Amino acid sequence: MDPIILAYIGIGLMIGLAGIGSAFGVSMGGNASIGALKKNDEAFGNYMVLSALPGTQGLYGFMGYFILSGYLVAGMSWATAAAIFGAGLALGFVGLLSGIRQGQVCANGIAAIGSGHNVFGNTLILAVFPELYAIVAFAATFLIAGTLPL
Amino acid sequence: MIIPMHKFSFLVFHQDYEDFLKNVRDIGVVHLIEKQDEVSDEVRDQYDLIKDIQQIVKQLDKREVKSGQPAKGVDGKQAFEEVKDLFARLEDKFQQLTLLQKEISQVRTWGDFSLQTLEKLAEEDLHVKFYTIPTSRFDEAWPDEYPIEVIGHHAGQIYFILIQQGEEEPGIDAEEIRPPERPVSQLFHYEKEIKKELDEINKKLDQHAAKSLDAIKTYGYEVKESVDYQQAVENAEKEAEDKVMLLEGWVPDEKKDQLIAYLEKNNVLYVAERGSPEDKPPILLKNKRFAKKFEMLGDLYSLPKYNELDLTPFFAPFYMLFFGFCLGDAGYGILMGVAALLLKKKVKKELKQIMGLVFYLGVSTFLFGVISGVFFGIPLFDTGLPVYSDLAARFEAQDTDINMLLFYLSLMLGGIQIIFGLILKAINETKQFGWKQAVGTAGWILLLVGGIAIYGVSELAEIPLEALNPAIYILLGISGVMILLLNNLNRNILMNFGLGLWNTYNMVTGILGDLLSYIRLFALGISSAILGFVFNSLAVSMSGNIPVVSILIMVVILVVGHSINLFMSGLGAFVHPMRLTFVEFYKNAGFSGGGKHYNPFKKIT
Repeated sequence: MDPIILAYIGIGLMIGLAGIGSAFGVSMGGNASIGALKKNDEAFGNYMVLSALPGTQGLYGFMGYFILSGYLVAGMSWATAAAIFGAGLALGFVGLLSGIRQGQVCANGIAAIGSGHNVFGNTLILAVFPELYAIVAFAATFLIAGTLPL
Repeated sequence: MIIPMHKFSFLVFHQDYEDFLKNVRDIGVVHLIEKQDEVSDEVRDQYDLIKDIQQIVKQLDKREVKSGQPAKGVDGKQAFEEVKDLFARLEDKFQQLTLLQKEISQVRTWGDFSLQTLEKLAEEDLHVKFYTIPTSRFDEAWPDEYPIEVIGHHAGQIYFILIQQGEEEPGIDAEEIRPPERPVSQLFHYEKEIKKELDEINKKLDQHAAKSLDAIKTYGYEVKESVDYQQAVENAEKEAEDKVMLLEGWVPDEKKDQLIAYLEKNNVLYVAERGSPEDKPPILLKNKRFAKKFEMLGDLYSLPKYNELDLTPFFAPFYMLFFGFCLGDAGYGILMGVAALLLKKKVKKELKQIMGLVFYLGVSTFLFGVISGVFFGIPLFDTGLPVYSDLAARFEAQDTDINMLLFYLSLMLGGIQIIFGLILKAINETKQFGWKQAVGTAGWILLLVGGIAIYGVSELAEIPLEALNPAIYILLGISGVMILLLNNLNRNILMNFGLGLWNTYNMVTGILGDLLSYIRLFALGISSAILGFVFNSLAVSMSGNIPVVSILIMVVILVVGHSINLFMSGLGAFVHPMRLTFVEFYKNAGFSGGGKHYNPFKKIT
């Protein structure tokens, strides 16, 4: 097997899983928003901001690919391929789960705002707790890319 | 800072009470202390009414009728009731219309017929039956075999009628359906009528929206005022066999003179005493121009308690820096700054503060964009611009790059904010409980600052750390005693030791986590830079090379792409520094919060 196959599997996991996480997350927010709009249509701005929060994981996955794309060349070494696979695995899985979980926090916040509780600020703060780990995984991907030989 | 409050207790003779309340309301500085746990039914009804009025105002506002001259002398209450009634009728008619239209769509294909004729035929034992069948199953021979007549085709179905003589079923293989109750012409007639009525109602509502909206709004304020008044009446305690009313409220120190002047002039008996934290006075913040703009951010979390430090001026500069760090694009910074300046003149008064905040955040974004070398996603360090290429060469010589430096900068800023938070905690403890309880925190500050200083000295002066061992032992000794034994001089020493150990465990695990949490600044910064870069390269590579069209495509991709990036990264740059402020900084600064807003009893209209 060529090392580049392993590297591309990693890239696929990274973009795919992180994107799926965000897709789930923002849909949860969107669904909750539609429900909440029926009760309180004034706070659409709040709903939209909260729904958009879990959208970042997918972007991190995509940017991870961008950072690593320069190293994806035929004849790459096994060490480079393994590094890219590892980075992809980490960012992919963390993005997937943190996106979904963040979406749940946001959805609950949206439902609460819809019922008239003034919890926008609190939800914002709590919702970024799960996102931190996707950010850390992204930072790690960036740092891993920094160690690769060109 | 938190404005000091005075607690006023007024004793008023019951006959003068109403006048007194009205005057206090005109002065509008007293935050009344609520006595009753439960609001009376009357007050609750009034609150429901206010909600109704707000709803109506919102709906009228939505009609976006150009308000001509708001007519004078409109009775707000009457107008409100009329409008409410009109909306109810509108809803009702609208539902009727929907049902009718549904019926029309079902009946339409049968066209027009007379019910009387059908009845007459039935008297002659001729029964008209209604059938439908999918076009494919309709047998061409049927019209010759049975007495049927095809009426129409719709959505792949054939609609036909069959005339049956007597009771005997003809046994045709098609689905019989219930005959329409009304012919379509009659339904159209109804529809027209309902639409006319809807038009009339809408016209009336538009008139109201143009003319009586202000009156209805005013009516809403009046009701609110009367509820406030009602509550003020209920909040008073009756003393001396109902002869004297006792009312209590909070007044900010700087606003109390006008009230005192009134009280003295009218010989109202009152007692004023300094607010004490146990009474939980309401919180009114007062900050200078810069920090004032960040009060709304602090509000998203919680107001401080009365005897706490107001942390707004302390987190404001950090928040500003952090936001810039996370967005970090000189181009976006300029956009934000210019937009804020332009909009500031146009927006309503309430939004002016927000525009001011956006301006400061824009400035910081610009600065960090310059530092990290990003302009609308273009990495300036790679462009060969004079200053940047020199810097890039110098970084290269030291085997580092700007991103590594930003990584360390984010941790350094975090460290500074954490230590700053601890210093504030020590001040806070001194302010709230006296210096004797602040020794433990001071020990931690000493340990951290001293540790960093020793490490710095050894690095800068190139003295090996072992040579500085005595200094380290002295530092550990002193701070250890402060942290473990003397952390609260008001407690006994064994108790201090136990709690000191527990505290140490929390600090060691906490500070490390807190510090690492600041890495997000670096990660969000590069993420926004890279996303901008991605859109730039997409714009260049996807636009092709057709003369004019390419440029247009490029511009579209750039505008859309950078808008997405500005929104997503801006959102992250707004939220994550907020978390750093409320979780990491507030925790280390020992902030507990929970204050209530100062909300004086005053005239609204």
